[in-house]
Amino acid sequence: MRCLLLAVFLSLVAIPLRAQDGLNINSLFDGRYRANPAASETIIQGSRLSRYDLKNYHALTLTGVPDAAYEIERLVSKDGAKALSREVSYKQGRLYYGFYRLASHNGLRRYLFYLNQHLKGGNKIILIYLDGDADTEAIKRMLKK
Amino acid sequence: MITKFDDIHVLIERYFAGETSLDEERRLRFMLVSPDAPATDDVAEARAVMGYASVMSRPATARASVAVRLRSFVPKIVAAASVAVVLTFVWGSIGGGMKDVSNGECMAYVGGVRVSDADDVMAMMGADLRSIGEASADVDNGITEELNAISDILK
Repeated sequence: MRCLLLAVFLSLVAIPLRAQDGLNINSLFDGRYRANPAASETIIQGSRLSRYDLKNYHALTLTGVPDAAYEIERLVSKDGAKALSREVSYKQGRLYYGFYRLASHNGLRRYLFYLNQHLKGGNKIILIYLDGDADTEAIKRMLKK
Repeated sequence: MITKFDDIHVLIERYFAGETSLDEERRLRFMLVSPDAPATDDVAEARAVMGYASVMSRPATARASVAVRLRSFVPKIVAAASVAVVLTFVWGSIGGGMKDVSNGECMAYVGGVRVSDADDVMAMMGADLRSIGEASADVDNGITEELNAISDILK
């Protein structure tokens, strides 16, 4: 019993270290929104993303919850501050749109998209994390499809 | 209280294996405290681990050293760590997150409901990307307008 408890404890410690990969936005993908009626979380990995040259797609969409943007924007901005490149747009002093090329990890290029439609008459907050082999131009072409 | 020592060795073995119940541990402690407990190495080691080395009126025949105590725990820690590694990989393949797992995982959670149909999930991805694409185009257009306005001023 003690061995099992120790094993569970060690694995609980190890899990966050493995999944974190140094990104602040990872805390938003810990499952906290999965039961939220205003949220949708999308997780796609592997072969279905191959046509985009991507390995991982992880998105969070919140509908009709404008106040949630404060925390999400804070975390996005922290990760964005270390981005290799960024395209951002502010409205009313708040981050409206952000596209960030983050530092690569494990040989994969990483990107972050953020959109707060509440700042322009909409009702969604969208956060998307992508990683894979696709370069920035390929990611932008993907948006136009 | 009559203390029986018939199963003290078995209990000690089970204790170090982490298999004793609370009642068994309590019974073992009573036996170890007793001066009539067998004067064997495993009893001495158990007393040392449980902190009873200084309680006895009769000197212990062998006092377990710190090294012995640590030695008895090392295999358990190694085993636990091995299990932890396995659990982590199993958890990681189930839990999603920022990792490179080419297992074709494709799922979504919408309002608390899990969506497993790949086409539906891919459609959700398409909808998200369209929203982002529209915003991106909007931002590009805004930049173009601002640059044109500057250009007009400079003419």
